[in-house]
Amino acid sequence: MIDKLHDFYENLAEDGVVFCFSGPATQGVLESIGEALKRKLELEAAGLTATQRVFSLFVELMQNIIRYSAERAECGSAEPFDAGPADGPANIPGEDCRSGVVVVGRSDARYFVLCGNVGPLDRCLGIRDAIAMLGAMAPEELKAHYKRMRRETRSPESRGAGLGLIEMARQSSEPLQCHVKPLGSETAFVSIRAVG
Amino acid sequence: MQRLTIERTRSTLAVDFDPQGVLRMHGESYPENSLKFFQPVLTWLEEFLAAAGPDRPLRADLDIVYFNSSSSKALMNFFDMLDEAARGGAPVTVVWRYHEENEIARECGEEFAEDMEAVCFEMAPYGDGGANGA
Repeated sequence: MIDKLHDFYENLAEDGVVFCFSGPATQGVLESIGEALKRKLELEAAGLTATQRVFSLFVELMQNIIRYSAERAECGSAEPFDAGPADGPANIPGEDCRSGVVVVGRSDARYFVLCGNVGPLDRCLGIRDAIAMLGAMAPEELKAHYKRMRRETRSPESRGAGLGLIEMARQSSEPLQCHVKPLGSETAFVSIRAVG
Repeated sequence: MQRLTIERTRSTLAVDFDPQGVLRMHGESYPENSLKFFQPVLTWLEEFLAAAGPDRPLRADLDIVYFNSSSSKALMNFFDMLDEAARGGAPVTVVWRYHEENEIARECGEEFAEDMEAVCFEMAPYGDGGANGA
C-alpha cells in the first residue's frame, strides 16, 4: 500500500478533507480528534459559533457510531452478522461493529461532516427514514420536536431516531443526507452527511 | 448535606453544589454515558430539595460551553426539578453564562428558559475576559 499512500493523501486534499478517521470509534478517539478539530477551526478563524456547530455535528455523528456498536455488542452473539464479501475481513459481532469512518472537510466556505458505519439493515433504513422525515420539517417544527423528545422518558441511548439526529438536523445548515448501501440481506453501510 | 464536587474532564462538567443553595457547573458535556454522569448530580439535587424548606433560595450558576443531545436530556431533568421547586414557592434563580459570540450556547439557554414557568432565568453573556463569578 505504500505506493498508494500519496495518491490517497492527494485525493483527500482534493476533496477538501480536513480530518479523516477510519477504525474503532471510541469516546477517547472522539475527544482527541474533537480537540484537534477545534484547534484547527480556531486556526482557520472559523469563528466560535461555526466551530461549535461543526464540533457538535462531529460529536453526534461519532457517538452515533459508538452507540451503535454498544447495541450490536449486546445483541451480536444472538444474531451473527452477514459475512459480507468473501475476500473481506471476518465479521466478528461485537468487535468490528465499533468501526466507522468519519470525515470532516471543507467545501467552499462551509465545513461538512460525514460518517459511515456498518449496521443492521433495518436500523440503517430506520435512520434513513428518520432523516427524510426530519428533512421535511420546518425549523420551528424541528425545535418543537426536539423539545418534545428531550422530555421523553426513554433513554436517549435507546433504539430509534433519537435526539441526536434531531439535534444534527437542527445544527446542519443544509438538510441531512443519508445513504444506505445494503451488504447482503441483514447488514448495510449507512452514510450520513451534515454541513456546519 | 455534603457538598458535591466533581472535577472537570474534557467531556464532563465541573460540578460544585453547595448545601447553602449555590449550584455551579461549568465546562463541556459530551460523555459516552450522560445518564451515568448526571445521576449523582440529579440525586444530590433531589435530596437537597427534599430536605430544604419550600422557601429555601436556590441559585444555579452555569457556564456550559457545549453539551451533546443526551446531556441536554439530563439538563432538562435538572431544570424541571428546579422549576418544580420554584412553582412550590422557592426563590430559584438560574444564571446562564455564555460567551457573547457563542450563539449556540445562547440559543440553548433560551430554549431551556422557554420551558421554565417559575424559575428566574438570567441570560449572562461575557466577553473574552471570561465569566465573572462562574
